[in-house]
Amino acid sequence: MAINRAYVYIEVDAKGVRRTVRQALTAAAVIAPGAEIIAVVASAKGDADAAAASMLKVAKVVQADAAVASSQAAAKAIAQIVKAQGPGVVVFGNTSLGREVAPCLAQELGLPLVPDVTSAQVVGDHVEFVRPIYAGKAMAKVKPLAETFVVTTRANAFLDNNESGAAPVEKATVALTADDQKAKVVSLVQRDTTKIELTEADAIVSGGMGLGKAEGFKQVEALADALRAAVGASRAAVNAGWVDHTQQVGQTGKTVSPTLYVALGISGAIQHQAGMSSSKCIVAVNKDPEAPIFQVADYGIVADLYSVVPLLTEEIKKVK
Amino acid sequence: MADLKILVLVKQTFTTEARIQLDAQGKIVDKGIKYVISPYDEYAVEKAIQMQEAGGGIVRILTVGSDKTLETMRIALAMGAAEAVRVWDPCLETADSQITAQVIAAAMKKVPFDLVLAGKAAVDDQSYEVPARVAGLLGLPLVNAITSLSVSGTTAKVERETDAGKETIEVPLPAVLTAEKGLAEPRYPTLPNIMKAKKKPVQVYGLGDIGLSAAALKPAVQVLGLSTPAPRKGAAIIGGSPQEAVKELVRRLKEEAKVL
Ligand SMILES: Cc1cc2nc3c(=O)[nH]c(=O)nc-3n(C[C@H](O)[C@H](O)[C@H](O)COP(=O)(O)OP(=O)(O)OC[C@H]3O[C@@H](n4cnc5c(N)ncnc54)[C@H](O)[C@@H]3O)c2cc1C
Ligand SMILES: Nc1ncnc2c1ncn2[C@@H]1O[C@H](COP(=O)(O)O)[C@@H](O)[C@H]1O
Repeated sequence: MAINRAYVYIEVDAKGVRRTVRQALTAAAVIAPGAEIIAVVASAKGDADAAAASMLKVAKVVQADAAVASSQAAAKAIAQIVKAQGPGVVVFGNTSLGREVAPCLAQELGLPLVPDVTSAQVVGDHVEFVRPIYAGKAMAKVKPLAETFVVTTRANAFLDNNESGAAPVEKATVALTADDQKAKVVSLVQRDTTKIELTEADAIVSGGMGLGKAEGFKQVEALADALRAAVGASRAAVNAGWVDHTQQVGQTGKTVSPTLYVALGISGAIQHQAGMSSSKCIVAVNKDPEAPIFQVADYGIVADLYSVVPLLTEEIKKVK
Repeated sequence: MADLKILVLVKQTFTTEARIQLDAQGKIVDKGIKYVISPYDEYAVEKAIQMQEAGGGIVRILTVGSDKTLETMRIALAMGAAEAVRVWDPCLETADSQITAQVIAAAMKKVPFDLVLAGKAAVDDQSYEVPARVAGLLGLPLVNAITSLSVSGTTAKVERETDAGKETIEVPLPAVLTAEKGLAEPRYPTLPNIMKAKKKPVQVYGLGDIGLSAAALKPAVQVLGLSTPAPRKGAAIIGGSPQEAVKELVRRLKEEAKVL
């Protein structure tokens, strides 16, 4: 049975509709070729988000006409929209919000959830997904056992859909009770959006214990700036208090797959590798030729990073 | 709240050091692999115990797992949890996250709780799914990936870091909260506590005991097969002086890898 409707959940930040949404749009077209694609807005700043979404290439934007202050409320609102508009797959970016709302919605609608997929393929009458498990040490091919389902897509696994449109915005009446909004955000210190979010970055420069001291991260940041890259770290560097834990890459940190990953003074423990070894191109600088990071890197320089990184930063500035 | 009853959802997983290998049938080879409490669940266990130590109350852990999970449950008990509940039926061997959530929600009707703590994700399937479904099934509020937690009266105040920024959230109890790294630093159980843990009660339920049956548990997803990523070739080591190496690296990133 072909799926003839796909919903894509809209997330908007200071810079507009998030790239993860554009990637979810691409995934929706793969999962449900030819389907009507509906952007769904269920957020606290509804009108502004709907206006941003209307510029996407979608059939229409459906906006919940209530302020939605929690993930569970968002799930309830989307469930009501899906029931009113008709069954379809619902696609989310696997962001911190997406992976909270998606399972709540799947439960609400009694549907399967296929989280964090890296590829999708229609095979005969069903859709098959690939999703990394064990932080990328293995991949599972999975099939949802229902005609419609909820999916979250891994950042950068699908291309951005950058087509623009002028979609009509439709308001949908949703009924939310106080019970649906029990969790209340009492304060939000906004993330510095000039910094690129790790999982969405095209390039990442990560630092490890080899930096020797917290100030060493200045070198990492300088190279990252030159590359317009995000800054990551090994767990040991996080535990040393040199950088925030949100920058940890690995099995118990973030799984990333940028186009370019540069590892500076990182040994390449299996838990670190799990989070970054699906990057397209990996560069390692380490003074130990036996460091396991060289087994997964494409290019390596065996040297003291302090003698290499400043030169590399200058050289990159010349070509970028 | 005095005498807070905390229930921690604990899953046993491979240690994060494990390499994943598949046998000829495409199944994961678990021979020689060590099992641990999934790291995020361990943060939850530690936090619960610290709250119990500070304010009284009781910490119970709940797991859906075979008798192979007894060893890791004993670790949670040795860390300081008071009791453990384990639910098992052989049909759960292939349970997906939806079924696991159904089983947990049903078992929770037999265990009193004011607060449910879980890991933000299990380090094996990384679904971020089970706690959300449990919360939905029981009509409880959910907050994922918290890095701090305090309870006053019947309200929990938590902090977390999302893509939006640092959020402080208040949520009335009972609630389901999932742990991020940073919530608490897990302790190593002491030898006397390991001994004591051997005498702590472990309640085992079958599906019938919690009002379920194998036939009522319908899978939502089917795993068609597993694979492991193709091994990477290993690095081309670029030699020479730092100046030469850097120039050559940048040239190859541009011309060969085409990533600049
Ligand atoms: C449950 C669990 C979960 C974990 N999860 C993660 C995770 O998510 N992410 C993660 O990263 N780790 C994780 N780890 C930790 C992991 O096992 C390693 O301990 C950690 O990755 C090591 O960090 P590192 O490479 O920075 O430090 P080290 O292993 O100490 O390596 C430092 C490297 O720097 C090199 N070096 C030193 N000085 C210089 C110099 N001047 N110039 C160049 N090179 C230099 C050394 O040769 C060495 O290779 C986890 C561990 C456990 C037990
Ligand atoms: N079999 C299980 N038994 C008990 N708790 C579980 C089980 N599976 C998952 N959980 C809990 O749900 C969290 C998230 O798991 P998952 O949804 O699989 O990523 C885990 O960290 C545990 O706290």
